[in-house]
Amino acid sequence: MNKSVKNRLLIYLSLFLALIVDSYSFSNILQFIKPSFVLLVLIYWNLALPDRVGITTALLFGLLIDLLEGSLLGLHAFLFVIITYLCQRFFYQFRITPIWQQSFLIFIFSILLKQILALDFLDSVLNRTNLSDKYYFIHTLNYAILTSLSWPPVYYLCRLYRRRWIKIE
Amino acid sequence: MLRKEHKVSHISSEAIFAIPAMKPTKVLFSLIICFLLILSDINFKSSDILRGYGNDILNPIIYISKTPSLLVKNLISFFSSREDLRLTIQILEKENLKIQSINTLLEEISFENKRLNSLWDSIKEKPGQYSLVKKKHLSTNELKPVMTIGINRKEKGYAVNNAVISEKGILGRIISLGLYQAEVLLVEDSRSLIPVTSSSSRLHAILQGSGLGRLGNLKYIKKTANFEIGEKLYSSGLGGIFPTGYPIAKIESILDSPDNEFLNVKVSFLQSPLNQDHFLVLRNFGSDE
Repeated sequence: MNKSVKNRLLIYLSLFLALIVDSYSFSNILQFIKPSFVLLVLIYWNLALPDRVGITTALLFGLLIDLLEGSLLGLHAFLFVIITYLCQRFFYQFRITPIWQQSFLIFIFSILLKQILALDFLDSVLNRTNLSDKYYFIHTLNYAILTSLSWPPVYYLCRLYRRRWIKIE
Repeated sequence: MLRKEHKVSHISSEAIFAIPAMKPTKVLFSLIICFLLILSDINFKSSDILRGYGNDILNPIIYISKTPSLLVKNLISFFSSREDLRLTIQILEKENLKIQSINTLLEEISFENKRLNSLWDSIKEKPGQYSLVKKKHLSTNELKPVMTIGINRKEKGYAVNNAVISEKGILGRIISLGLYQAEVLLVEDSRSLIPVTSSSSRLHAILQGSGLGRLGNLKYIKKTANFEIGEKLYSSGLGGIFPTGYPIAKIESILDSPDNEFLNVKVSFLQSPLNQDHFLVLRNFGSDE
């Protein structure tokens, strides 16, 4: 098999593994605050191999998450594309920052992402475009904390995976 | 890294990476696609067909995600039963312990049976119209919670708008169907509007959800309405989607604020999809197909 195709397949495999982890349902509050591993793995590949992962991958996995979560079709895709663009646009800066600073940036990303997911375009509650309330904000913070705390292990795990399996010429 | 995409530093002999920037046109094109998708699905209508079959495709992923926990569970049960057996053989005189362990097991089974029985007892009429389904996945967005259930469409003839019921009352309705999966719009969802009747005052109202674990509210209740705190709300069946007389929620608070034209009636839902796995689907009632 062509090396480039093999690398691409391995990257997709890691994203699929993250999707499997994400699709696990908890029967308690953890269900709403569990970190999004697809997003973290996608960010990692955007930083590590920006020429291998791009907008198409973000779009595809965003749509898969939309189907899995039952959210507005294209909403996750839209967010993933923007995050991918930002990661690739600023990846020189992002890559060299210490891991805790990267975690902090992911914390900010996560809060924004969760708040955008609370947007309501149906006007289900009169004169409110955002359904977020106090509890949702607390869950958003917990989600962001868990996601940012998950970044270092995901980062090192993906790096190990890349060094072990993905050979770049 | 593709060839000729990096240079070598003359000072440190290290590779200098120069990744070509992402093309803005490509990003713009993708964002336009996303916008078009969002706009076409703004009412969650256009993607209904796609979602059902999409969930069918994603079913193996959900199944695989549950495999490790199943394995651990089986492994634990395997070792614990071995341990039980060893104890039974070794210490015959401790018959009492053995009976106790069997009793615990029986209690667990009878508890499960009780739950299934109460679920089955909640059927009002025509038991043949109900099918037992299992929860597959619950979305992480608590404000717009969507639950996926496993069905067999060919066998049972499920349809959109079939009511999903738990032993405590109505849980939601099917909004999208695949071959083996169906999406359920829960009553807690802010998109869900259900016509209800109160138990003691017999007043009609529209019940709207606000998200999982949150209090719902009754819409457009005139200040003259005499709802009581604690009274139960039942489906009135007026919309033609849900059957009549199933409990849904309980009134928690009634607030009469002077700056509001209507009463602010908050209700708590009687059931939650979080700690339950089995539900009933009422078929051939208010279906689209």
